Amino acid sequence: MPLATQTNGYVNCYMLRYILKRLLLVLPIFFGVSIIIFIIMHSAPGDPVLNLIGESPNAAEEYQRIMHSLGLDQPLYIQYLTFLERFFQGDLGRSIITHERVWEEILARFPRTIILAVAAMGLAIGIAIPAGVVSATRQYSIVDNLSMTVAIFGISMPSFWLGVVLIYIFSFRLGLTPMSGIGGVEHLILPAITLGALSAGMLARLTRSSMLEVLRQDFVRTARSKGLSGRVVVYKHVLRNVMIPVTTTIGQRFGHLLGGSMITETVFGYPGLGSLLVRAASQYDYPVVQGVLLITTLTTVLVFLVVDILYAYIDPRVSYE
Amino acid sequence: MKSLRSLYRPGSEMRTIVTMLKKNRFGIGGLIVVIAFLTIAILAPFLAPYDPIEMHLDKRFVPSSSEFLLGTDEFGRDTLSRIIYGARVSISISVTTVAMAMFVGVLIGSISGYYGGKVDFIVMRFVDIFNAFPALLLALGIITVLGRGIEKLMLVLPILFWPEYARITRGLALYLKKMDYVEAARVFGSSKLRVVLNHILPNVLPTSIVIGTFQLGSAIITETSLSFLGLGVNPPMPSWGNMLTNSREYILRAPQLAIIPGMVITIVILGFNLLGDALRDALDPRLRI
Amino acid sequence: MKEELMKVHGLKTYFYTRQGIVKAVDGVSFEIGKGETFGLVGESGCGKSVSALSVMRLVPDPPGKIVSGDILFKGKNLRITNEDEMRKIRGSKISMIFQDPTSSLNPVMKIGDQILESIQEHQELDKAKAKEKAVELMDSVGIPNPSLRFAEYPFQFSGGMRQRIMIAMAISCNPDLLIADEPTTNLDVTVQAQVLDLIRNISRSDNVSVLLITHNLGLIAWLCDRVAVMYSGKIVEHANVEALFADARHPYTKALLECIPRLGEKDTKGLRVIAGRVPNLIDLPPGCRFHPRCPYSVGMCAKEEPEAIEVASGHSVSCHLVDKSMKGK
Repeated sequence: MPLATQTNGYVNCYMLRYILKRLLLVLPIFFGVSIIIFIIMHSAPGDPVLNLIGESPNAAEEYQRIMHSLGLDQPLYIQYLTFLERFFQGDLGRSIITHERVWEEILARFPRTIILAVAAMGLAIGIAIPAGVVSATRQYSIVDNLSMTVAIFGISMPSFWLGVVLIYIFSFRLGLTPMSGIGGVEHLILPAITLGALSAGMLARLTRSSMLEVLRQDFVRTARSKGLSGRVVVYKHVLRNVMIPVTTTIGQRFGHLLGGSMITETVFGYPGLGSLLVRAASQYDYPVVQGVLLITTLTTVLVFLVVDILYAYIDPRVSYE
Repeated sequence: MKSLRSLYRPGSEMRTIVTMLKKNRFGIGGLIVVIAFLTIAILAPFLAPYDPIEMHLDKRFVPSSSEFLLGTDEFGRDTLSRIIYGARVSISISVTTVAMAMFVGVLIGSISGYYGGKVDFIVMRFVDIFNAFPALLLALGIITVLGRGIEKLMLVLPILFWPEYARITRGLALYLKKMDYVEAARVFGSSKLRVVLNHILPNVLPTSIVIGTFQLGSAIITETSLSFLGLGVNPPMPSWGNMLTNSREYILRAPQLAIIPGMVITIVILGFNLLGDALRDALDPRLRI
Repeated sequence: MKEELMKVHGLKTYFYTRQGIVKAVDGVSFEIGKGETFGLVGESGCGKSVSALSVMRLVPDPPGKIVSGDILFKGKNLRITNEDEMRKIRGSKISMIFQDPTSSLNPVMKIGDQILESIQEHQELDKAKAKEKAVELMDSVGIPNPSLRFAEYPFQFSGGMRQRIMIAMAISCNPDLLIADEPTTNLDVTVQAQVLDLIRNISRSDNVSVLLITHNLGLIAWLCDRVAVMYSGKIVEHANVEALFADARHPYTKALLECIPRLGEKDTKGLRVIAGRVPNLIDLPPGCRFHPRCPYSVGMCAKEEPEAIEVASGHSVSCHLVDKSMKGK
């Protein structure tokens, strides 16, 4: 057994080592991700340069010239390194369609998507976790059955349908919210619900089953044998253990939210990264697709990192491995 | 977990599962929905009253009538027939996706978990990288490059779904590795691969089936979502997703065009989810009350 | 006879399950005196743990329920006490340690905090004093470097240490009764002795009564003053320890004692066992529950359940073949 360590407050040497390890792992993932994106984008069939030349008398020379200017005559790995170099300089190329700088477009839209994702996740957590806790502590009651029914519908409804239905009810029929666009809270609420519904359903179910499992554990019986009240037992002992799988899931879901934003933003005409990506994909605008993919995936990796660290605070066992 | 004997008598485990399933009414409901969905998809040509891509331009936006049970869409195509054929599309894509993902994922996960060491480390980094991609985004990226259509979807979607299998079967393999009967097999001279095939895989199978059931629903949602965005199944071939692509435009005139396909999707996914829940409860008696 | 601390009378705890009613504890009576160590011994599933949980009112409900009986403790009947009162008793007047110290401690909470919890729940001490007391407790149960290890987690301790932590928690509020449910079963043999020593010292120095639950007759001999033997939810024999080992009357007790291998015994027949199996608690045999396995059973054994008969002072047996007037079989 490890000897006692200097544990003071929230940070000790084990935790630091853990954080460092996690940070270091981010690097290979980043490279792996960028390589894969690069490979995908450069696997497009057909030759875009040929399209640019068209019918010209000096086709061969033109071809060589453009190839050289675009750096396409270099070996693949050099192209990749150039790509990386430019990325770190904030250069992700230009859109084939609009000729705008990709980096700028992404920067403008990125916060909007993040706000949407955070709102969706916030709603999901705020509703689902309490619902799961109540369901578990009042198993088989009406509240339990109701929550779990709503939850299972939440995970079964496609978001593009939910969005349209919500628009129909709240925008058309009731006139409560705008149909699309961006602005204040009223523009955010329906998209946030649409985006977060799936996560909320999953979290509610997970919280409930996790609580039931933890409540069965021996240490809960020990806590009760000490004379602690039910509420203390739940909030102090049980929840901490329940948050272990729940936190992991929240992290994973955040990534999915960024993906799901494609649909939600399209349905609601919300000008974020998701709708940008969809538009670019339908127009075969490779630089934009590549750029959005890269930024979004990096964000996800960072979120995973944060979640990993949070996890270590909740469950100290991981940092001691 | 399972004893050595039960490994070679798969029948006994199946019987317990079936008995447990029978008791779960929601699970049976789910099973019925799934079977109905399968039947409709398979028998589509016999069930659909019309050709799903045939347009009746004189009868556009017809609400439900005796001629067109669920009405027609903006091109006068029969909604009911399109729904029926949409089932076919969804099923072919989801089944191939899950089958391929399961095959690859379970194999990789089991080997990675059991072999451990360097193999495990590399495989897990690989899985980490895939996990970093928000699912739909990766699909989108590949589709941008490869193009759209059913065949492309069948190639792309498994890439999104295999990591989940790998992760979970790896965890199971790590646990099983410590079981005495698994160690015994090695002592008796089985090669590592043989141990994986004979001892790890059969024990990993029930959980994989549960995951697969949920994933079938997931795959349908993924496919319909991509089709909705215009990046999946190409019109005029009907997919429940692309039936909704333009529904917002016509929402005042014909809300049923938006409501019906989505409702169908929800019911089918619900069926898979309920079935998956029931299977999981049946396989993991600890969770039953 | 020592002054009486707790008297359990006719305790019945049943579990209502899909397969039927499990009569885990079916009419159990015993008394524990002040400062006395009382042993409850029997095979797995005989109802001894459930009896202990019933005393603490910790039986999971559903599916379990204390159907009838009295649990008299310091002038209160614990069976009918309300939950708030019961919580004041748990951890402070009666406390319990469990079989598996690993699963019985919260894995993500510092052990110091877990000990503090007991103290802060039942005693009015400010944080600093409470922590002082907790560290003292850790020291008294033999945990080295207590002030340093206060902030550590259960996984950083060995099995024996974890059980000591549990004991520290249990004695933190100076209970009158300590219930120990198989406290050493999951521990290494060498550590077992240490933990048992600790329990014995606590019992002697602080005059704490101990209810020891075990299947190990050796522990009973070593630690207990009086003992009750349980079988299938009922107490079949009840005596002080010397009397039980010297003059066991119930066939089951006798069989148990015979199963213990003795050094130097030349027995080439192999280890002795008790033939047959423990009955299913849902589907109990009629009459005396032990009769299907009893080598001495007669007709009446299959028809009527035997009453407890006192064969000597403080020694009672539930068996038809014991006559009040006679000694020996």
